Amino acid sequence: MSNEYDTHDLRGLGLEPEDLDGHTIEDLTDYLDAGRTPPDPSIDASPGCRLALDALERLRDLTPELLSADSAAEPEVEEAWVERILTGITLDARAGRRIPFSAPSPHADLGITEGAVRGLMRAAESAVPGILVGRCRLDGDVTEPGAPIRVCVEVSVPYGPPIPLLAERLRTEIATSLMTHTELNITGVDVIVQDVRRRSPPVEEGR
Amino acid sequence: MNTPDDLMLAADIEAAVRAVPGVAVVYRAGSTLSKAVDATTRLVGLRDEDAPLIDLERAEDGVKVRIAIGVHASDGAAATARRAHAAVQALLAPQGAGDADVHLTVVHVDGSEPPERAH
Repeated sequence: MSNEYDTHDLRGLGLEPEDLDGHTIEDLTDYLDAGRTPPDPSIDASPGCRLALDALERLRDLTPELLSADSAAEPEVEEAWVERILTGITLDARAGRRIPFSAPSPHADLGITEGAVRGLMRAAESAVPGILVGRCRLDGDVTEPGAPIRVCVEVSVPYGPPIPLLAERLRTEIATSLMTHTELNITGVDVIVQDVRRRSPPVEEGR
Repeated sequence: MNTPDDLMLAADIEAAVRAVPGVAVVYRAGSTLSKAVDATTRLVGLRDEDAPLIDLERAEDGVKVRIAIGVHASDGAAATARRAHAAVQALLAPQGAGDADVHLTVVHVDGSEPPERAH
């Protein structure tokens, strides 16, 4: 068992209602737009929906500025990264594997879902302005206490700040969060930059 | 979970878990299949919304309790899970169910501040 995605056909998982307890990303976006009113218990009581809402809310906070700049420059690129991030949000909201915590007695079985851990990794983006996490992965047998685990995030970054610096900040944030909330033996945090977004239309330099 | 006593016990467990510092939400526990059935029955108005979210079963080898929680990010998930387990044990032990199997899973970490810490 290396990671959850290895065992599934990704094409069949993208934006499917069953990933979000019967809701779609569009439902959740509408719910956010309505200020989460009237309250919908079927959304609020679903951990998958809550995980997706967290990510959508952060994405929505950044999107107007980014979209206006990117749409002016390269609309097809903008669509590609937004689609990638939305797909990642849906995939990551799945509960996935159960990751154990050490328990105080043989009668206690404590753990955290892989989906919740991916939510933590994704939330690290809020500590690095402009960065957006597209997909998160935990490689290794997370169900086995102490097993070496390497995590990977695919990200979209803004044009301008040095990418190694952004990646290092995100890596540190993710490692700290995983150390706070899990007992995973993290051996590495990989950051893959999939998109570099321009904040303003490109300037002609005569090349 | 069949008897009124078990329903009351499950409700008491739910209340005890909710009161644990760091616990943000108690979600409906149980298998994916049972939750899917619950979701369907809720849609047609058949399920009592006030039913406990805790899944409690009495088997030949003792009581089994399943709990799903969301925790606040400001508190460690593992530490909160252990506190919640301790609260459940403290409730069950005086009732002679101290050896109950407690299966507790953190399903969401809430990034917002707990109400008492929010400004």
